[in-house]
Amino acid sequence: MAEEQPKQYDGYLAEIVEIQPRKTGMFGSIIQVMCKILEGKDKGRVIRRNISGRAKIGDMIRLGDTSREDKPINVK
Amino acid sequence: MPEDNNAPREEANASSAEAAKPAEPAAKITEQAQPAVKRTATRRVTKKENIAFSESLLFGKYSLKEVTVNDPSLANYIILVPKAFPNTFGRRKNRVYYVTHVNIIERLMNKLMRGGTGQKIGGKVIRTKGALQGKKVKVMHIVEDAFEAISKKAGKNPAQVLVNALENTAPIEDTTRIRYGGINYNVAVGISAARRLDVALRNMALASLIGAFKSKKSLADALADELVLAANKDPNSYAIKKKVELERIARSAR
Repeated sequence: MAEEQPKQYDGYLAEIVEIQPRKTGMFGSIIQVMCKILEGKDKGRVIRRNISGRAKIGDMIRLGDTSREDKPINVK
Repeated sequence: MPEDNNAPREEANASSAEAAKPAEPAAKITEQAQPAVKRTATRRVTKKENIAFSESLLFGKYSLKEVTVNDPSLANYIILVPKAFPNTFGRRKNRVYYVTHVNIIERLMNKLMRGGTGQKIGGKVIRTKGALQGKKVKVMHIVEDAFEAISKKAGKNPAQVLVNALENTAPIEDTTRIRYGGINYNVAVGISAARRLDVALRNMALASLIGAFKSKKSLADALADELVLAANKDPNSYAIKKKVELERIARSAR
């Protein structure tokens, strides 16, 4: 029912639940977080995502799509 | 002059009781008279003006308490603590979460204090040759003029216009390079709330520099135009163009 309402902003709202200790990206600027989706089809699911920029637990982010999930970071 | 300074206490005690009564009419007079008096170099802050600023209206005119943030992801990072002249004098610099303590209008000022665009736009890099670097008071006047222009043009609280513009121009997705086995891939990543606001503020400052370059427009007018366009989701806004471009590239690299 919530999907029928016209959305004010793009994307789906998600809350950061957990932050992984490792960093990725060429310059170490990317962090990996587990986030709980609060809107849309996949409401309530917890997925792993790469994000850029500074973040802490409890922050809200917006995701372009909620279907895909990123790979966990492998450290040799 | 020296007589006034030598005997302040007696006058203050006598006048405080009297000054409390005519406070309301006095405040109205100062609001009308402010713009004419404000810019003179040797100006003393009178008691009447102190009463007007004690309510902590932004620049003595606009209230920050009415402003609402609709986007819950940016709500924690848009700071709207009422202040007449938002300035922390760089005390919070280089702290980890300084962003959550500094007023949003001060952050806009900090982004405006720059020596040009820093990147090629239309084939050339625009340089202001140190016209704004380190000159916070000058930038404060620019923002004040821009807010006055917005309140005439849009008829709204200019702080609310700024917040709406930021909500509309903060991007969602970005791309980065990640290396797998000697080959570089461009991969789409999300953007955290703090960085979304940084990018949006930077684009606002860039747009005003570009708008004022080689034209009759002042920097304040260019900033006001950009803010009003972005708040109405107009596709002619520079910041909205940038946001759409970023997200389009990221969508193709998922």
